[in-house]
Amino acid sequence: MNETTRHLAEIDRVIHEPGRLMIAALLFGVEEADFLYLQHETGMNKGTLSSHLSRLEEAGYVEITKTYRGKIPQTLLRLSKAGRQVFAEYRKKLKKGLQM
Amino acid sequence: MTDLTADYIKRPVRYNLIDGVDEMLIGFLFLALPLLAHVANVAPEGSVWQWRPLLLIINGVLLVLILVSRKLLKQLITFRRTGYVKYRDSKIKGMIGAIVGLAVATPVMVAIYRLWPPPQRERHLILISSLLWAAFYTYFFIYKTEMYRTYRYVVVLLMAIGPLAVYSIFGNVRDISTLSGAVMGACFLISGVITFWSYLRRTHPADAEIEDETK
Repeated sequence: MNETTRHLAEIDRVIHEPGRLMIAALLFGVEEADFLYLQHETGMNKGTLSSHLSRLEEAGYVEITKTYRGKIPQTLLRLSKAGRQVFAEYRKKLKKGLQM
Repeated sequence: MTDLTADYIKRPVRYNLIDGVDEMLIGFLFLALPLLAHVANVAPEGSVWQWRPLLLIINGVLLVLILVSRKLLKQLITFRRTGYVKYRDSKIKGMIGAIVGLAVATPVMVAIYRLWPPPQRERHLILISSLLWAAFYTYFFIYKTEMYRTYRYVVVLLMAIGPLAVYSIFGNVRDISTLSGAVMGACFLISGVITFWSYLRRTHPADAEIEDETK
């Protein structure tokens, strides 16, 4: 296995899925954001976004907090420390893999 | 793919300026400060409006009013329509920016005061400040937001030449620099109102249950 293939083979599959990649990239630039913001930016429907978030939460990459804004329920999302690390690593590996 | 992620990472920064709230509030501040300076200029000798501590207090109140208004507008309109974002703490970045800004601005100001005598100085200061504000507007409200709309370029043009045009027309007015500042404020305010209006037209308050989807 050459260097290029190794970089690409080591890519994290959870993050690599386009929908989850969008979510991780959006959360990478912020401290936290709510469900509505992610829905607005990604253009996904509630069900799809929810299932991607559950998958990211299972992997330990996203932390989900349920709270209230006044009387309205609000779901806050943030990348965990592991999530940040994996996303940064993913970008690095992909860049190396595509450049070589 | 890497470019795609870079674009998504930048989106929250763009989102911060999507609603025109910051433009409107900067415009309001820029209009209020020259108005205050004008009142102090035209007030009779010994008037309370010429008492400097009062002007400082009013400036402080204005600043608080603007910060509170921003928070309210974001909470009541933006967060309800397109979602809430908390940005990562960038105090160190801000401090570095302020130090670099001061380090650049101080020698420039000293040079301007030494090189140009008073009649020319005011004209040059107005020109430099209007070009700087036009550059600031272009960077933050066009480049960062990537909202390449025609009215924004008209605003840039007005910012760059407006204050100097005002100076050329009303050069003999006593407080010409405050009038030029007000032109800048009007540019920000008009741009902010157009952006805000277009944001309200494009978006609608979300359903309450939209927030609570993750299991």
